Amino acid sequence: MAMRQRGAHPTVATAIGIFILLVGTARPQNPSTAPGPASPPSSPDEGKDIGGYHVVQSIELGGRIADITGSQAMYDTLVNYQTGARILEQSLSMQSLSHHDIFDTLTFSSFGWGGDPEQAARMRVSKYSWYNFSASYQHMQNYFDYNLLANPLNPAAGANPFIPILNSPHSYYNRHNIYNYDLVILPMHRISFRLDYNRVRITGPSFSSVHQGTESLNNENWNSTLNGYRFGADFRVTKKTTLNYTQLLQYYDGGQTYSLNPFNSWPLSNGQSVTFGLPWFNGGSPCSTPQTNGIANPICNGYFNYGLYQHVNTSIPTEQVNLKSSSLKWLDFNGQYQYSHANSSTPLYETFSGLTTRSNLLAYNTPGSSAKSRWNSSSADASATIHINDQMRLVETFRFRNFSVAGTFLDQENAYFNAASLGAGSLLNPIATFPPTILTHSSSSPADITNEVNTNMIGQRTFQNDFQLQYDISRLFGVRVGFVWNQLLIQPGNLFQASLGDVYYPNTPNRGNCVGLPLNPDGSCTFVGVITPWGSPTTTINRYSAIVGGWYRNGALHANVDVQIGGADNWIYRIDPTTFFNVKGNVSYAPRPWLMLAGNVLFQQGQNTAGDIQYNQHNYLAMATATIMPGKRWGLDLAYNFDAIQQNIILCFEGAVVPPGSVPCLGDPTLMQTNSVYQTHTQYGYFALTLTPIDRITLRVGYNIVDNQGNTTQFNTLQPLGPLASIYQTPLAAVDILIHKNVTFKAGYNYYQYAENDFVGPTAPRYFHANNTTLALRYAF
Amino acid sequence: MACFSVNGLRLLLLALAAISLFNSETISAQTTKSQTSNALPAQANGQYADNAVCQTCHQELWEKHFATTPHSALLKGNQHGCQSCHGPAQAHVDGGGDVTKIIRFETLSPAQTAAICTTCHQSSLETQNFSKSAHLANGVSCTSCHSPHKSSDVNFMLAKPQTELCFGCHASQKAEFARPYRHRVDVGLVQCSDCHNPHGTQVGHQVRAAAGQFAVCTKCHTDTMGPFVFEHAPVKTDEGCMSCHTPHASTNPRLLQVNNVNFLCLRCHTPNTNGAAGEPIGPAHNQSTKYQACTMCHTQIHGSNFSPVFFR
Repeated sequence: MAMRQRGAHPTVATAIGIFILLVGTARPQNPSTAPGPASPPSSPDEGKDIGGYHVVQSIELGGRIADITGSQAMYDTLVNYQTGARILEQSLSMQSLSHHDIFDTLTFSSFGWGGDPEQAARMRVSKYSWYNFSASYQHMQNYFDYNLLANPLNPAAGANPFIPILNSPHSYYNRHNIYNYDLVILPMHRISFRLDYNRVRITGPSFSSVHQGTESLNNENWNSTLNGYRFGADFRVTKKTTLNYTQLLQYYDGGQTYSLNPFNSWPLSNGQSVTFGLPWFNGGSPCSTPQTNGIANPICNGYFNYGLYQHVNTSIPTEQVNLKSSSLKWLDFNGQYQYSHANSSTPLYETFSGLTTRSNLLAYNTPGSSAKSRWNSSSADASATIHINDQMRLVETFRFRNFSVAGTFLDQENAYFNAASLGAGSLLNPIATFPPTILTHSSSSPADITNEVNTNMIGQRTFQNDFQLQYDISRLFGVRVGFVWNQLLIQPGNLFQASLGDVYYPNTPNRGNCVGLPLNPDGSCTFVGVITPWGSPTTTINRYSAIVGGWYRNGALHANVDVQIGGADNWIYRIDPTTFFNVKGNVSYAPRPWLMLAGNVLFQQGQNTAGDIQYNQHNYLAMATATIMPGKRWGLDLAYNFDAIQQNIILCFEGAVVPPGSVPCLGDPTLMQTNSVYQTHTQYGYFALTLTPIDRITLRVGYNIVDNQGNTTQFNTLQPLGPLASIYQTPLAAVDILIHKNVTFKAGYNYYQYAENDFVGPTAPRYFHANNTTLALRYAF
Repeated sequence: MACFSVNGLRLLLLALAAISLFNSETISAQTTKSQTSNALPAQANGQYADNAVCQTCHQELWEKHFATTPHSALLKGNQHGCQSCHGPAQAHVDGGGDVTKIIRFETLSPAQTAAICTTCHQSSLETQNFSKSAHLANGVSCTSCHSPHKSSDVNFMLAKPQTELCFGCHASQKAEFARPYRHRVDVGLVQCSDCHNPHGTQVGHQVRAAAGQFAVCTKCHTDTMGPFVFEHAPVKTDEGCMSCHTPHASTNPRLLQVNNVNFLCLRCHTPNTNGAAGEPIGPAHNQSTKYQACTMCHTQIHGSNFSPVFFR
C-alpha cells in the first residue's frame, strides 16, 4: 500500500478548522491544578436556540504572566507556562431540537492555544443511529531538563579546570502531536462500520550521548511519524451475537539522527579543535591529563566529528476478529483473536573521527550497514460468563499469546589508524592506508574491515487462566473468589554473530577473532566464521494466585475490597516476585447530596527470596478525601494521601565507595555486595475553598503539596538524593466576577515551588519558584 | 478514479442498497415474550405500552432531559422508547404506576443493570468485555458512571466529567497526578480512557493494548515500539514498561521507579551466583565514578538496531 504523503489529512480536518472559531461544551480542567481561575457553574438555562439547535458556547481569552526565580530548566520541565496571550479555553455544544438535521449533537472543546505547553482539541459529531464522528488533537511541548539524569557528576577535586555538567545530557526540547479521527457508520444497526485514522508526530531537538573512548554530547534531532489506519465492521448476526472484524495498518517513518555537539572543546597544538565531551577527570575520562596550559593533550580520547543517520521504516498490519454472544440465556461468551506482523528496516550511516586511546582508533564509518527486524504476534482470548441464576455466575477467562521479535544487523565498518612509524594513536597524526603503510594497532583494536552479521531473537509465550465465582448476595453486596494461573515461557535474547570476512591489517594482525589464524600473503589476517553461536536458554515461569473480593453499595455508601495472594515457581529478572500479596480497598460515602467522603487503601508486597537476591518490595498507601458543597455560597475540597514505597535487594557492584555492611561477592575483592535499599514516603495534601458571597463573584483559594522524603543506597558520594528529598507545592487563588450578562472577568494567581533538601551535587541548583498570573475574559451563553 | 468504472459504481450502489435493507432494523432492547438471560430481572417480560404514555406521568423527565440524549433515538420506528430499558410497561400502567411492575434500576444488582444495557451495547468493541471486567466484579455497574436520563455530557452521558468521575473512586490516582513527573491528566491533555477502557479489556488493570498486544504506552511513545534487532528484553516481556516505570506519575524523573538510574539497572544487572541462566550480566564499572550514569553510554535502552549493549 502506498504511504500517504506527509501532511495530507482527511478533509474532515478542514471542517474541524472551521469549528475552531466557534465555542462548545466546556470540558473544564481539574480545578485544583488548573493554571487559570475557576469557571462559575453553568446555569441550566445557559444557551440559546439558533437555527433549530440549542447552542451553548463559551470562549476564554486572556493571557499569562510568568515570573520565575531559580532554575528555569526545572520550571520548564515541571510547569512551562510562559508569558503571553492565550485562547485559554473554548467550547461549543449544539443539540438538534428536531432531530431532523444533518447532526443531532456536535461538541467541540479545546484549550491552551497561543503558547501553553499542553494543547488539546476534541470534537464529536453524531447523528443518532447514522454516524458518530470524533476527532482529537493533542499537543505537548516535551521539555525535560532534570540535570541529574545521565549526568556523569564530574568531581571538582583534582579537576583542572572544574567542568560541571549543568544540564541533563539527555534533555528534551521536542514536540509531540497526536491526531485521532474515528468514524462509526450506522451504529446500533445490524451492520456497522468503523473507519479510524491516527497520526503521531514527534519532532524537534534534544540531547544525547555516545560512547567512543569517552562520551560525547550529541545533538539529537527527532523527526518521526506513525500513521495508523483502521477499518472495521461489526455484524450483529442475531440479536445476541455479534461478530467484529478489524484491520489495522500502521506505518512508522523516521527515527532520530545524531551529530556532535562541541561541548568541552579545546585546541590542539596545531590549532584544530577537539571535543572531549561529558566526563572530565572522572573515571579516567577523557584521560589523566586532558589539557596543559589550555592546549589539548593529543594522546587523549576525543572527538573531531561524530554523526549517525538512520531512517526507520516499519509497517505493521494487524488483523483482529471478535465474537460476542449472549444467545444462550445462561452464557455470555466473548472471544478475540489477533495477529500482528511488523517489518522494519533502516540503513546505518555512522561516522567518527578523533581518537580512542585503548584501541588507537582514529576514525570509522559504516558504509553498507543496515538492520532489519520483525515481530510476529498472535493472541487468542476467550471468556465465558455462566449465569447460574440472576445472583451467581462463573467467569472463566483464558488467554494465549505468542510473540517473537527477531532481527538482523549487517555490520560493515571501516576502521582507520595512523602509521605504526608514528607510534601510538594521536589526535595530531593523520590517517594512513594499508597497503603499503603498516598501521598502529593494539590488541584491543577492532578489525580494519568489519563484515559481520548479528541476528537476535526474543520471544514469549503466555498462557493465562482466570477463574472466578461471583455471587451477588443481594443487590446491595456481593462477593467473589477466584484463582489465576499464568505461565510464561520467555526467551530473553538469543544472539548469533558471524563474520562474513573480518580483515585485520598489520601490525598485530593476529588480534581479536584472528588470534592463532594464518596470515594472508600481504600480512593481514582474515576471519570468517561463527563468533557467537545460538543457544541462550529459555525460562518458564508459572505464577498462580488466589483472589477474594467483596463489594457493598446502598446508594450513599459504596465500598469494595480485593485480596490477592500468590507465588511463582521461577523467575527470570531478579525483581520478579516469587511470592506476592495485595490488598486493595475503596470506599465512598455520600450521606447527603452536598457531602462526599472517600478513601483508598493499598497494601502491595512482593518478594524474591532466592539465594543472593533477597528482593523485597512493598507499596503501602492510604488516601482520604472530602468534598463539602452545601450550597452555591461555598464549597470545600480536602484530600490527603500517604504512600510508602520500599525496595530492598542484594546488589553486587564495583565501587570505591563501599556502603556500610558490604562484603565481597563472588570471591572477587573488587566486587562488593550489599543489601541495597530504596525507600520513600510521599505525602500529598490538597485543599480548595470556593466562596460565592454574591451571585456575581466567586472566590477560590487552594493548595497542593507533594512532599517526598526517603533514602537510598549511595554508591557515589557526589550523587544527591535529588527527588528523594523534594517538596513540590502549588498554592493558588482566583476570583471570577460576572461583569455583564454572559461576560465574566477572571483573575488567577498560581505559585509553583520545587525544592530539594539535599545537597545539589556538581551541577546547577534545581530549586525554583514562580509567580504566575492569569487574566481572562470569558464570554458564554 | 479513472479505474473506478460505471459497473463498479453500480455494484457499490447495489451493495449499499442490500446493506440498508438488511440493516433497516436498528437494535431494539427487549424481546416481548421470554426472558432472554438469567441475568435479567423478571420485569423484563410482559407487554409493551404505547411509547407516549410515559410522558403522561414523567413529563419533566421526558422534556427536560431524555429528549436531548442519544437514547431519544429509541423513540423512532418500531422501538419501545423508555421501555427499551425499563421493560414492558403495560402492567405498570394498568397498575396505576405500580413500581413493582417496571424495571427500576436502583433495585437491580450491577450484573442485572449490565445485562440490560449490554442488550444493545454489546456490539461495540469498547463494551464487549464488561461482563468479565474488574469494574463489574467490584460492583460497579453502568449507572455508576453513566446517567442515561440526564447528563452534561451529551456524548457518553457520563454522570460527571471523566477525570472527576474516575477520581471519585480512584482517589489515590488524583494524588499521583499531582506529582511533578506525570502524564498530563491533571491539565486535561491525557484522559484516563486514553490508556484504560473502563468497560474492561483482555489484560489486567483494564489497560488497552497497542498493535501486537504490546504495551499501550507505544501508542504515543512510538520511538519505543520497535521492532528492534536488539531488544531490551524486559521492555517487551513479562512486566514490560512497568519493569522500570510507574505509568501514572512519579516523584522521579522520566517516571522511573527509583531516583537513581544505577540502582534501577543494578537491580537486574548484578552478578548472580544463583540465577537462572546467569543473565543478564552485571557491569564491571566502578559505580563511584561516571559509570553511575548508566544511560550516558547505554543510550538506546528501549532497544537498538545496531548495538547489543544499546550504545547506539
